[in-house]
Amino acid sequence: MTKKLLAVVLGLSAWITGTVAATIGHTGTAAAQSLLKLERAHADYTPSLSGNDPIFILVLGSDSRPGTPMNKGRSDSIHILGINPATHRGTLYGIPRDSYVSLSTGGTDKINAAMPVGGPAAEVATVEQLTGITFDYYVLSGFNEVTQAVNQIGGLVVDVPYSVVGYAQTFEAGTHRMEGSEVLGYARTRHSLPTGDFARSLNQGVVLLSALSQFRAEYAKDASRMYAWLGAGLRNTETTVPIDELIKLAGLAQSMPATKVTNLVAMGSSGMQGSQSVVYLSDQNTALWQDLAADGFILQKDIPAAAQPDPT
Amino acid sequence: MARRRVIIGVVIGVAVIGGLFVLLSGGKKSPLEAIGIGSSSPPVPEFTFTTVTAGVQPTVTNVDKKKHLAAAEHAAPDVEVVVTQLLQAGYIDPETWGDVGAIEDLFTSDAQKELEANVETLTLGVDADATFATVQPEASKLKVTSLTDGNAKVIRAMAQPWFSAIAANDDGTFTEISVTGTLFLVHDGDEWKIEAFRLNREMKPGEAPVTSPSASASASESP
Repeated sequence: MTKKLLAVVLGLSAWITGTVAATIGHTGTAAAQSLLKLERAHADYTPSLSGNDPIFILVLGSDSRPGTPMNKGRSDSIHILGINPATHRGTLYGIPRDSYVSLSTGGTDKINAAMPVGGPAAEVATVEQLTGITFDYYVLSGFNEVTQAVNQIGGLVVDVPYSVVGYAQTFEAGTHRMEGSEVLGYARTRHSLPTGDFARSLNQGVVLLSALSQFRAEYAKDASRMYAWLGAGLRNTETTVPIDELIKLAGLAQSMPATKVTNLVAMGSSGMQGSQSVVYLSDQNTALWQDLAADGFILQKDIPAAAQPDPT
Repeated sequence: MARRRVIIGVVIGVAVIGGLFVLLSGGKKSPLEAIGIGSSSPPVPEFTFTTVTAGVQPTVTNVDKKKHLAAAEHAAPDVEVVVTQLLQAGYIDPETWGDVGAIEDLFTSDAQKELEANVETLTLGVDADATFATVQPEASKLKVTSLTDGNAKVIRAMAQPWFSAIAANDDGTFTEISVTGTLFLVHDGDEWKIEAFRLNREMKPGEAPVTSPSASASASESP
């Protein structure tokens, strides 16, 4: 009798203990379920340029017409792009194409004359010689290529700071989505601008910064847009930037809004050299180039008014 | 009196042993289940994408589009393997939920450093087994876009999964899981590795799974 009682007590004890404990366990699970966050979770990583060393890219626009290789045309658009990966700051420093300088290919002439003689490498060497900045890479595009690239990404939203009377149309101040031909027209317009080539160079910087802003916005919304931009960019440029570096630049762009990239143009004055109109660059540029070479950017407060000419 | 003490002692002993069983089983199993009697773990489903689409993004102009698309179609299955392995380990197999070690070989060395910070989305989460019992894959699709060079060689690939699954929760309810986004892959030796990622996961109350996905493949060209 006692043994039977013992067995019953043991069995009941085990069953009750197990059931109660398991119930406690499931209660804990239920609590975890109620705590489960059913909202969106997000994973995000893109390799990015890092380190304290600045990166310098010479951005060139060729005036070559259809049938002529881009790298045999004159470099009518010249911009130094400095990037500081550590501070996520950058600078676009335009150089007027009529700047009368010593060429790496020999002699003194307009700065855009180096490329037809020695290709992009000669243009890079000329700008290095002028500024003291050593370039890591160059990117070269042309009229048709810019047009196609913009069209292939679906147009470019440009924030036009002031109205510009172009060759084929007027670009009113404000934000506009432009097709490739419109972007090219805006970037090429010079004659209607009070400061001519200086303002044009600054406007080309506006286009480049618009591209940065749009890429950032599109990538943030849909990361797959990176390949649309990479494809369009690589199809329509000649560049020494390796694909690994391009992807890291895309990653860096996510933390570098256009507001952290200053846009300025080399200071100088117009004049005549023989029968041709030229630009004589000011000595004021030297200190700015040294500043840029040191860390890849120039702060807005350090930019003289003359380097951001007021078109009005 | 002595017999009563024995009985009380035995009862306490059984209670302690029962408690230990529950603790060791994580509170999910009864004492009998904890010692392997009365239940068995269901087999882990094998995940495959229902549809895989290949696209191409050439990096040069005037290319033979058919040749480049063929290269992209050739690369897509290898990329699919990597993404499938990620979702199998991260979401389908309960043994590897929240386990960075189970997925790290699928990533480049730089990307591996970011896995811990993103494990709650790259996998079901480190505490997923406190909520979920099993995950059953639903019909899912994958788009693989390849960047090709002038020789129609695939130099990079981008995978866009639309992953769907139903989790059976420990409390008997179900949760609908979806994972979407973009994975960027690079060739590392003979393998594709994930070098960048941007994934979103959504969960909402769901119903018991009713279908079993099967695989097929098709191809199309990207703009």
